[in-house]
Amino acid sequence: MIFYTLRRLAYGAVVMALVTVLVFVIMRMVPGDAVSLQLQETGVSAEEAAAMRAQFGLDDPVWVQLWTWLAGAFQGDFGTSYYGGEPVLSLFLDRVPVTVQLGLLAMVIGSLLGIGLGIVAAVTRGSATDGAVRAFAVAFLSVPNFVVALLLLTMFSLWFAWSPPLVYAGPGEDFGSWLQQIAIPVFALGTGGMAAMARMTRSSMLESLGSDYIRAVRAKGAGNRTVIAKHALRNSTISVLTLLGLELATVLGGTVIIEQMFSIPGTGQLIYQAVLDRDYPVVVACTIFYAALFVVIIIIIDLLYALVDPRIRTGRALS
Amino acid sequence: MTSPPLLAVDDLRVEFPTPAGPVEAVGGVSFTVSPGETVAVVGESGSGKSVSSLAVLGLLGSGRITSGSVRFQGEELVGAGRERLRRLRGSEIAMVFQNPMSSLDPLFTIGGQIAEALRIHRPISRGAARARAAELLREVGIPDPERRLRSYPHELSGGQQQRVLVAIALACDPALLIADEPTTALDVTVEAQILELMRKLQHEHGASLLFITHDMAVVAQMADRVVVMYAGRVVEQGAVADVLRSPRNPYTRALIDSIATPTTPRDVPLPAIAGSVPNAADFPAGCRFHPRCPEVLDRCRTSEPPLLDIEPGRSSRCWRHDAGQAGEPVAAGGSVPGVR
Amino acid sequence: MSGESALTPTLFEAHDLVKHFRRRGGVVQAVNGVSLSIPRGRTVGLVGESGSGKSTVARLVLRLLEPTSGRMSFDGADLLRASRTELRGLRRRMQIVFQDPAGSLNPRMTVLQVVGEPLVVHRLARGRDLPARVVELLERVGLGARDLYKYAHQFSGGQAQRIGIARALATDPDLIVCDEAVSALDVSVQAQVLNLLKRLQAESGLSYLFIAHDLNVVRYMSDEVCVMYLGEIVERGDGDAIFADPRHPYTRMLVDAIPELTTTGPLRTARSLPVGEPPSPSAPPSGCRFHTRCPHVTDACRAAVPPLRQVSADRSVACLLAEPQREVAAT
Repeated sequence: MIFYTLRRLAYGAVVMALVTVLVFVIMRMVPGDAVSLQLQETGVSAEEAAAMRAQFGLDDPVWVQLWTWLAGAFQGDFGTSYYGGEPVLSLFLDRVPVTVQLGLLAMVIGSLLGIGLGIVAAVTRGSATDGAVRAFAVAFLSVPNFVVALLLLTMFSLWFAWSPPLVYAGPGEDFGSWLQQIAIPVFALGTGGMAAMARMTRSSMLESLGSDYIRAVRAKGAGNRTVIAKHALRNSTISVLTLLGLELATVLGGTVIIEQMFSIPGTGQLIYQAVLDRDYPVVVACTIFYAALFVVIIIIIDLLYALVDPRIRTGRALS
Repeated sequence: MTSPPLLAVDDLRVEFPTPAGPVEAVGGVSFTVSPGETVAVVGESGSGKSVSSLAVLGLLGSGRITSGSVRFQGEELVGAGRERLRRLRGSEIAMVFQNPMSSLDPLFTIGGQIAEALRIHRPISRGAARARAAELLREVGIPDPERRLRSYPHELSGGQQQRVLVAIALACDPALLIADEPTTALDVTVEAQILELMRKLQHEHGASLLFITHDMAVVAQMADRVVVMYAGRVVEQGAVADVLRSPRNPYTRALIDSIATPTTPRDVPLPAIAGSVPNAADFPAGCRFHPRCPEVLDRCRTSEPPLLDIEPGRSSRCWRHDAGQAGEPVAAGGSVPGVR
Repeated sequence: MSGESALTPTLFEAHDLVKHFRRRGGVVQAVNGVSLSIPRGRTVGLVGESGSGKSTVARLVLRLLEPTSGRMSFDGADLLRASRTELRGLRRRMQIVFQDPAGSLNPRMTVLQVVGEPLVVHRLARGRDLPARVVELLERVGLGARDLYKYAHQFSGGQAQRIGIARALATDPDLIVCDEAVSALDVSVQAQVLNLLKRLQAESGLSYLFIAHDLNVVRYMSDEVCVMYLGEIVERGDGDAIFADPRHPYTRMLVDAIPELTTTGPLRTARSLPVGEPPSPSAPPSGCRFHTRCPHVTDACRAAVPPLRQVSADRSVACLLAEPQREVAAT
């Protein structure tokens, strides 16, 4: 188990190193930099531009820039934004809670509802309920989350003459306003995950319900509750956990567009704006934070696998 | 004659839904199991032997009993409430399955799975259940039971897993143990050990054993009486020694002849049965064995023979008994052949 | 020229085959020094329980797996040093029949395609010749032209195995490896397939390496029986003789364990009950691999690996206690 954990951590470290280098290099390879963009807009002279490039270190070779950045990053300095000169870290940390609230709500609600629907569908296999869940899941899986958001926005404003508040207020400032603001985004972000989760739960529940050990548990005289909640559900956990990890990526990606649409000042919006502005320090730092978050979650999920399944704990591959 | 049967299955029919409509996997099967007796149900794939045994416990999955009766200790189980069946399962009627590896939940310890069987039916504490589980493990011959309680199924060998399943089955001292091909997935040296264990424990617990198998030799080792099934029907039943030594039904006879034994001469072809085992979707008309039967008569092709009592305690399904020419003369003495 | 060897020249020979698989946490010693010799037109049977390495031997013989060490020759040609083109030619002459008849047939292919494939691959028939050749093969295994355009799922297990045999016969091989070829079949169908294999052998002088866990079936099929335990051959000899008088304690245990069909005598009372289960091939016991289960174990057995020694004209035993022409110490 210790070996297993160390291994996961080592993989995580390797992934992080690769992501850092890749993101850094790719960003520098994108045509146009912050200075040339400003040049277009405000008409700064070539001399001024060269000076600005020197100031930001943009005229150094990529690997020197990378080295400088890494040296800073290890001391907690992820650079400063080219616009406004704010440290990237504080810019990012200011916005993290907003995105975490949004993403977490979408994932938790989506997953719980999805798992619930999946269980119900599996247990009532072949019934109208099962059919409805499956139809619903297919529908929401095939529609992208921003389309869901747009449809909801249109629907609410046309039929109920309601639209979410324009200015974002945190849940601590004005809870009611926050709730109105965040309801549609959470729904839009969560439905895809819910649909995927419902399908996955249903199919893995059906698989375990049809297995020999479930028949053996029934032969012991176990009731439906024990059969479903204790044995079938627990045996479906592995696939549900796997999906949970993938869902996280989808939701994180989704926040970039959804936050923009609803002018929610989260990290998604930050990244979106930074990419448009070629604000390298912000883009690089944000991407690496996202990657780190993802790696950490994946490690946690891997550890949960081992917690659930003794075969993984003792190093035996899954059948 | 003797004590009333513990289990009496009478004219049981079981259907399974298929895309092409319902298919009758078991068509009018009757047999009994007396207290302390071992009855083997033997047959090939599609004979309905496993389905018959699962029907007793109400564990048919998508299948359903369309008619017939299953009486256990005099109580009718067909149509009994779900809760009543659940209470019988594991406590009065227990089951051991074919694949030990897949019949244990991979995520729970051995101890937990034995204790579960106990705690479902008895109001005992976790500690007491655990202590009893260790005792059961010792009883089925697993060394170091205290430590094994904490093991997971994948840490055990196939033979040990089957021992654990036997321990689970015996946990509540059932009156009837159903074993569905319990040694088919095991190596022959391990099979011998498990068969011996089941025989010993059955004797000690005084349970009856309904033993489902495809292996005639295992029947010879284990059973008092045998029920031979083919294509959803019982074709012959009787005492094991009688049936194996002088099979009266052409199918039983052909099946026994076709098995290679240590003394089968190598330079002569085996007496094989022609054709293939039919599946439930297209059982032949008339006698279901007639397309493969070496002794087929004209009437076998059109009408199906009933299961005839040919001797006391012995019955067979063949028109040749009618004609008095199925290998041996029909029931000597005064016994009148009657239709079952 | 000596009459005996002229009658049955050796077709296939393996010497000291070893196959170790590297796995996480160790090495699995699947096959550990197996030597085999299959005469032309004869059947060598390989019997053993799970983990004995008998299926690995099958794959090694066909070079579906590379041996870790050892030598193999087929009809005089060195199998392990053969060039690609030579090997291709040799492969044509060695075929396999698998255990799971339906599973080893591609469900999307017709019988014509399944059986015709080796003919096309080895350029033995094509175009209009192909169906005719396939029908010929099908007829040899008891099927016919009406089965040509059917799919695997339309056949019963026994028929599917016949198709598998027809496919193996397509390249007109000299050696067919039967890996548990009848184990998945219903009892009433097993005999048909065994008879078919014997008939084909009589017709065209095929050699078989017949692998199964059912000792009765292996004895019936084989001219010589090799008993494997944990990757090693522990006893070899005539099947009838091995049954009547097993000389290796493991063979005795195996023979004693087989449930007998007769109910004339008392059940098993005269026999000893097998002890224990085969250990894992990734951690085989020291010395004689059977010592952990052997009723006659001595200190010497734990230390020294017993070589496979000839104890009589046609019997070899790998046991320190087996003495030439004498019984193993009585139980």
